[in-house]
Amino acid sequence: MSADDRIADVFSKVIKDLDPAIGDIVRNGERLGRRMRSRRRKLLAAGNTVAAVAVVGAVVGMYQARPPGVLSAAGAAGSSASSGASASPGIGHPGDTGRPAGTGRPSGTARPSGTGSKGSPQSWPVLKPGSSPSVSAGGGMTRHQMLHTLRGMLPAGSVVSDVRADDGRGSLEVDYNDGQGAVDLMLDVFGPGTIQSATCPNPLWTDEGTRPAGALPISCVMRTLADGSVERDAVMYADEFGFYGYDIYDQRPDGITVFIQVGNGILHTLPQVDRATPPGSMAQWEAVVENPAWHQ
Amino acid sequence: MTERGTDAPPGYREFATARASQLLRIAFLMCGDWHEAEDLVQTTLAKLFVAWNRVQRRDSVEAYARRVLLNAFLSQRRLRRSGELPVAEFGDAGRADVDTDLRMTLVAALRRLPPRSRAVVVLRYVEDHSIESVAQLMDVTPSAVKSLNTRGLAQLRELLGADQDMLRS
Repeated sequence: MSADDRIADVFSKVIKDLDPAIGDIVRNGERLGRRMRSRRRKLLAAGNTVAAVAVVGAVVGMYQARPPGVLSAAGAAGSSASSGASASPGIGHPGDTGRPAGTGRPSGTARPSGTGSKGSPQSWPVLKPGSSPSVSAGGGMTRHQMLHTLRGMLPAGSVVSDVRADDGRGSLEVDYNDGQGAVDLMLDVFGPGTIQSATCPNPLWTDEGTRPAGALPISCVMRTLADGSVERDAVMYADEFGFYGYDIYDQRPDGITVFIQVGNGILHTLPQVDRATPPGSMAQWEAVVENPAWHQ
Repeated sequence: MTERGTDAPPGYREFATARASQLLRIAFLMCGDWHEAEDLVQTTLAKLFVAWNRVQRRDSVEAYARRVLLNAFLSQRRLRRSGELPVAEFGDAGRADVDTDLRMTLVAALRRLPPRSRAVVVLRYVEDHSIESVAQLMDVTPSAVKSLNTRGLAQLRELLGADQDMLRS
């Protein structure tokens, strides 16, 4: 018996007696499928281009985060540099926020929600409460609502595309390009009690693969904001493709958790990890998850 | 359940009923958590339901279902990669007379592999997919699959430590 055969034999032993009851799974799968199909039809019938793009997950749905205007993504870079942040604006470096990796803003010193922190480029717009479309929070937001809300928070000239059609309410996964290469961006709004509290492991994670030259170091910081929110701000370990990114949980007193992960490349199709760092700075993405728009 | 009263696309229920068990086994070995595996399969079946007519016309339904499951798993992994979400639980689907130690040991070791390596190993050795077939499912090159497979198995042996005899017996 070859080595491959022996391994296959072990797996076969392990699963042969797993005899799950699949009735409920099949029924629930079909019910979920009907809902997905129904939502899709409604959105398509509404003739809403953005919604339709979201549903079909079409690459052709590329659009700018904001209307072409004062600043392009490159313009955002200039603004960032002039505000004292990274000399390579739009790209996060430990120095972007003026704090070393592994440290954070002091507890209870949170900036006002949605205003960005020290060093946050002004070109990242501030979405005021109430400016998102009839959002039902707590994980009930549709992709369309999340997309609209997110777009309002991104710098001018940046592009969101390839909106994945697979995610349900409260979940958004897109390609995000600040002009320096597309990356995976995942955003989730979890309702109360949906997930456990995020914490920092001790010791911190270790890389599974090679971290790109110039990458941000692994870090994890727990912070308590002035409003009582608990936030975990992490720069994750690199996987076997060198993919890593910002990984931020904002757990609010109302029980809603907003999560964002912004990578340094694309992983959902052919892996394409060609950036040393994810776009933006930790502070900029913190401002995104802390924005009250996700709770209205 | 009123929705069950309406018709499903022809052939869908037969396929779902016939293949759900195997999809669940694969999902369980990939994610190591029974409840998460159930969620993955429900999601897979739901997407299959939506795409059924198109998939039937153009693709292999089996391959499509595996690709959706795989994508759902890898997507979940990226979300849960920091490990703070619900931990593994073994369901009661396994009969008491099976070698549960063997299963738990192997599943625990699998859970420590990088997600893509885990997926490759499971598809190769549980589903008996060829390197080329796995490459197609994962949208990567055959050499990438070979590499993931080799590294995955080496890591698995290392993780199993004294238990690695199970891979030799």
